[in-house]
Amino acid sequence: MIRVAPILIAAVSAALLAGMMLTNPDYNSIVRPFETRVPPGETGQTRLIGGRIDSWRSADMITFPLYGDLVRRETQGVFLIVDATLFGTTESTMLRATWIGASGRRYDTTDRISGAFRQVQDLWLQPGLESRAIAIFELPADEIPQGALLLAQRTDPPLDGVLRLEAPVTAPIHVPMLELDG
Amino acid sequence: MTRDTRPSLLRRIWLRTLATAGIAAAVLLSWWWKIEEARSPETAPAAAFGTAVDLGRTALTPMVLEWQPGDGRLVLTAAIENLTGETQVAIFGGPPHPPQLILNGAPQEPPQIVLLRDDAPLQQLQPRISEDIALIWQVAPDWQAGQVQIDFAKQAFKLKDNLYGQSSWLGFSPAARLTAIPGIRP
Repeated sequence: MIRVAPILIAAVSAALLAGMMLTNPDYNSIVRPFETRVPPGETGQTRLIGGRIDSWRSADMITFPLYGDLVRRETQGVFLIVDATLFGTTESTMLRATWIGASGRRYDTTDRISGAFRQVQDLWLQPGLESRAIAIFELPADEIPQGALLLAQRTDPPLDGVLRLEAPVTAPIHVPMLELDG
Repeated sequence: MTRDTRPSLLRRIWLRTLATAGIAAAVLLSWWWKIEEARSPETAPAAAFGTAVDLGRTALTPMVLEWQPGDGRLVLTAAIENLTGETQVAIFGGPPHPPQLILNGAPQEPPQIVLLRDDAPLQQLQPRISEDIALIWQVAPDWQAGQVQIDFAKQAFKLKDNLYGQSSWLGFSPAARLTAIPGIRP
């Protein structure tokens, strides 16, 4: 005589396990930062950092002084320069800035302008003190509108807060050449 | 009185199960080795000038190979493009596997890689921005220009790895081999 109950229990268990496996969210979905979205022009704050976008510009070429020489950098795309006011909340913090383009692609601040003054990635953010900083990105021009500036701790801990400052409503002023201070 | 030396039924079943498992494991292992061999062939396909080579995170298109005897430099100019959705610093994988020059069967030191635009070192590659670069190998100035070989390696990407189920870049395999005689630029 075929014992139906054990077979049924085994089948239901297998189906439940398969369902759990199929609907189990993957590691990348579970372990990711908590994002605070800030509308254009407003100031936002997350656990360790806060800030706002003051203005933005774009340029085809950037010049800046480096070790006494004037260095000139061009790009296949366009340089986007975001001016921001930032502050720390409870700890001294180093930052990493990323531009989330209109396509969703992520652009880190460019290393090609290293040496220019007040760049976000060189800044030590202190609790309670406001700092003016610039973030320079190298990207295709169509990634600028509807983008956002993402600010996170330098070490990018997966379960901490990140600040997403939405792009200003007005288009950035474009200049062929921008001179930056050293 | 005789003593029964035959093993018990349970022991016989156990021994046979063990033997069957061993044979099955050997068969599966050799089958898997065959699959691995097919997935990462020892001999890479031939690369050609003007044709993109997929390196995993990036695609590199070799353009011109030149021998500059005055500077003792062998220079490969190429276009490189980021295939991912984020800024890449691991342009040739992690740990880096830049194209490898082989002269007379001997692998050479890794090349210096600069942007053609301003001779700045290639440190990052932005998505959707193709860059023209030069890969520069220092070679003994008395080297007689002849056929050279440049090997390209590709790093594999896995969306869900076996450890945490997170996306990971894993091992390298040969992607392409460029065999060419460099042009000479005095």
